[in-house]
Amino acid sequence: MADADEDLIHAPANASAQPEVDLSDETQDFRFLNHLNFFADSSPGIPRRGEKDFEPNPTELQADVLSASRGAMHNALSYPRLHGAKTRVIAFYAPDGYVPPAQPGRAKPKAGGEDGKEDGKSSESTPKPARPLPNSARISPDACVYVPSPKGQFFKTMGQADSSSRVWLLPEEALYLIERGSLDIRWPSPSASAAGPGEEDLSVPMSLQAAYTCFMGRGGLTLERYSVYTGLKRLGYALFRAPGWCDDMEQQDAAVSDASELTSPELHGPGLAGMLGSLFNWIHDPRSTASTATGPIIGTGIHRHYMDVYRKLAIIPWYDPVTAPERHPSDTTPPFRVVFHIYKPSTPLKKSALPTPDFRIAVVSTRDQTTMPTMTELGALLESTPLDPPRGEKMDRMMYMRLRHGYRNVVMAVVDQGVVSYLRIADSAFGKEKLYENKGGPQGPKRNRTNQKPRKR
Amino acid sequence: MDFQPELPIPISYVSGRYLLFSIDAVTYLRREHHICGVLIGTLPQIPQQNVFLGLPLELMPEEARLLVDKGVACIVDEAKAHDGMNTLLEEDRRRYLRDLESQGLHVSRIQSDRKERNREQTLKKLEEKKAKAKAKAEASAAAAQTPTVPEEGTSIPSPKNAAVVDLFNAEDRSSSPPTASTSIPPQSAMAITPATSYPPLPTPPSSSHLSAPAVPPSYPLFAHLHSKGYFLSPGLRFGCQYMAYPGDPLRFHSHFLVVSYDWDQNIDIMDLVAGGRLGTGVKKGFLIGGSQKGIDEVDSEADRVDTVRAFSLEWAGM
Amino acid sequence: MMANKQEATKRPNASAVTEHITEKDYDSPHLATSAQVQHNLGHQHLWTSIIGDIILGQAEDTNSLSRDPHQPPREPIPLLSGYPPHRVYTHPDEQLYMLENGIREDDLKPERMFVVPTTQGQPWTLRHMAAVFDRLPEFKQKAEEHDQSVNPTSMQLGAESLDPEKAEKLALYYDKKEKARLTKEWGAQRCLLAMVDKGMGGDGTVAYYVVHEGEVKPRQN
Repeated sequence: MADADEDLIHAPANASAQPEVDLSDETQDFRFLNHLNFFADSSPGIPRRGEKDFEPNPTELQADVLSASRGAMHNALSYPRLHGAKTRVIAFYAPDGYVPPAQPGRAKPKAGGEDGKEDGKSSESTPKPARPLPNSARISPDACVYVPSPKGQFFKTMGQADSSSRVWLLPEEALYLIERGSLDIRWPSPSASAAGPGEEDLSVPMSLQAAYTCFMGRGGLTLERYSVYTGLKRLGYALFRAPGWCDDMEQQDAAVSDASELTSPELHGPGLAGMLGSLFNWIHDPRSTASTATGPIIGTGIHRHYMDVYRKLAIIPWYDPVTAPERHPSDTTPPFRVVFHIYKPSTPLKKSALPTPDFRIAVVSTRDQTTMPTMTELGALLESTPLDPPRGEKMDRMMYMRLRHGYRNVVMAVVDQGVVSYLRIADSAFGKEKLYENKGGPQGPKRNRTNQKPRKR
Repeated sequence: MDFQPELPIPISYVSGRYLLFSIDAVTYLRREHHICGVLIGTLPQIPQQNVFLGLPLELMPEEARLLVDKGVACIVDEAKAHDGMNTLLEEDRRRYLRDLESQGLHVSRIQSDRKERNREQTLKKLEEKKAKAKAKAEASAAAAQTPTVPEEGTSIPSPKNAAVVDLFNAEDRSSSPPTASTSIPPQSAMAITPATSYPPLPTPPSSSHLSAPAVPPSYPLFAHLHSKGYFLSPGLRFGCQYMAYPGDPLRFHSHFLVVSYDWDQNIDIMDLVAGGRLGTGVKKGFLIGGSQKGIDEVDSEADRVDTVRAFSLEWAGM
Repeated sequence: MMANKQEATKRPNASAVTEHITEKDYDSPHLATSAQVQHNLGHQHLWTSIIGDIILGQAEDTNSLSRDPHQPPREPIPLLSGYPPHRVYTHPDEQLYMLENGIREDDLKPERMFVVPTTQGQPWTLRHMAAVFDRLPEFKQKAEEHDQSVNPTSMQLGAESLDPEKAEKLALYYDKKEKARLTKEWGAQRCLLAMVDKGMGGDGTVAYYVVHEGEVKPRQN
């Protein structure tokens, strides 16, 4: 029954299958979306790119096609956000954010099983009895929507539970969920004091417009950050706020130890090796008559190998990212600062103990930041990320891959009025790749080129 | 479809950005005023992809300004307007909830009707297939085989993949067996998340409208190209300020990569080579231009738009 | 070793274009650029009848500059023009017309093409660009007069050599072209921007770009 449609659907909504052309680059013809019957049996896939014309002409055909495209777009964008009785998840907007429960003596119901881990911090420093329970401590002051009875897959990577096992959502989480039609957020009930079950009937659902109005700008959420958040969420990534989220952040001890603990062992390892290496070289070059200050660079000694000569010619100091100081995120200049930690869909996640992120991302709005970052800004941004040297068999073998991977890396999302471009910035260590030490010439995919068939003209 | 919204169309000013939440406004502005904006929202029907996006629509300040200057739109401070939610009368609240419920019921009914129709169609097709197979089988005189059974199994809808389908299916599957019966089980109303807050909020009075958006120095060139019939969209992804399309970007490729300069702003010759090269590589022109007057020399932005001059560059091929 | 010194320090001969520029002893760097482009047009691209001209700068009057956007910039802008061996640019709609009417490029009268020589790092603004186009008609006029004086018959292709049908088609084409000039449907005024790579490590490469006045849709081939 889907003969015609099958032609148009080529990729399943599978996150790993990347189309060759980035379809999101261009305005898509929504007619192709209409061919996908959302009530049909096949899962909705991504339609192929529609053919476009060079310029308008006065033909009726063109006018009809355009009108059909616009009609299809209208239909697609009119699709309502519906909540069936069985799958509906209700949430409430709490304009004042999370308020710790008033009665401290109450025993904590063993609800937040996954969050039950203790920081140790609260137990040590709690002379005050009114402290919130441990897992409540993780609830961000920016959280402003709570879900009384959370169900469904989303809360595995979103929200924090409080002592009464309500899940609190950050503004971007709540907005993402309401926008995709997965959450029915209600305005606070009119009679604010009583949250009785009878009163809740009069709670009005929040519109998408209201959700944008209430959540955007709250707790540092900008439209650009949200565009990046939601764009990557749609592709299946999990995103969490990074320590650099707040533009006016101060040096926080917790964040510092968090960042440096991860990286300090790696920092010393290669650094030490590098130092040993240069010492080694120095010992083995006792007959050097060269001087960069006064005389010939090469000197008159006996050179048994070109390598000796090249080594002496390398008089220009180069930057070694391995020895660069680790910097705290507060040393960076917004917007060139990591604001999200990103995890691939395949990375196993536990909200209470997040692993090292797969990517770190900084978000730049083109209307607020109209110039390229300076070297200082870019350097600080890179040095605020942990050392991530090229590793693995493939990297060891292929120099160009090593150079591309670099020793530190960060993704910069440049958001131009809703259009997001992602740039990966890596700290490449060209100085570490001594071409003259390569015995077999340049390595990498280029080598095999001679074996390839000549390209068609 | 050729809906005429009431003018001026309210543009939502939210946290420093200009957004549209009404599909009718979006369609109307695109059709009548060549303003496309950028869709930034998730489509609830296919939420796991970035190719087709949905509401809201983000407008460049240039687009919002142009519409306000034309008298087509006004700027509404949504944060202020939504304060009205706190003071909503109980009566209005009830009426609004009743409206939503009846809409929800309506949607439920449509869903079950559609389900019913689909089922009938499937059954009909099945029967046709069966009949054909039967005829075939009889004709070939090999009457022992019954190939209809596996076929039947494969063509019965298995709506497991799409969450949307699941949602609408929940009741149907449990209640009625797949027969041609037309009895529809009583539906409970679907809850709806509306796209906009109007209603229940009243239309903000014109006295509360914000002033026209501040625009970058490139605005005159933007407005000039728009007045010549071009559709413009943000261009940084393609290495320029704006992309200019000769018609609706839904159907046409862009003609120009656009960069604006002030009249006496120095242009690096190498930037012209780079821009020309970039454009020619994708069969587009590189267009530079700007107003002959600075903002301090004239009374309004409109006066600057009138004095814009533009130049298009292409590689000469020599 | 000493004996070789004399020869070792001897410089290679200056290139033809450098000699040309030195000979002329230009007092403005713009004219030197112009000479280099002229050399390139003539010898690499085989243009003929190249002539030069100049839009004078307004160095002395800086105050009025900011007031009147139509005044040329402070610096002089040199202009070159000549006949390329083949057409450099054909508007897409003109190309379509020619295709539909069986007119080949070779059938057409050669057209004088104008070139603005520029180089990396020199001041260049929209004002410069506008100044060029504002004065282009005047330079065209001058160039036509020049062509007439040099060879009064060059502009008339031997009409008798064409068959009548073709002549008719060509007449219609020229008619259409004149109309298109007024409506700008085949593009408005245009010239070439020649950009010389003379900066640090520049190799003297000249890149040529067609510049149109206004919005002219790109060619698709």
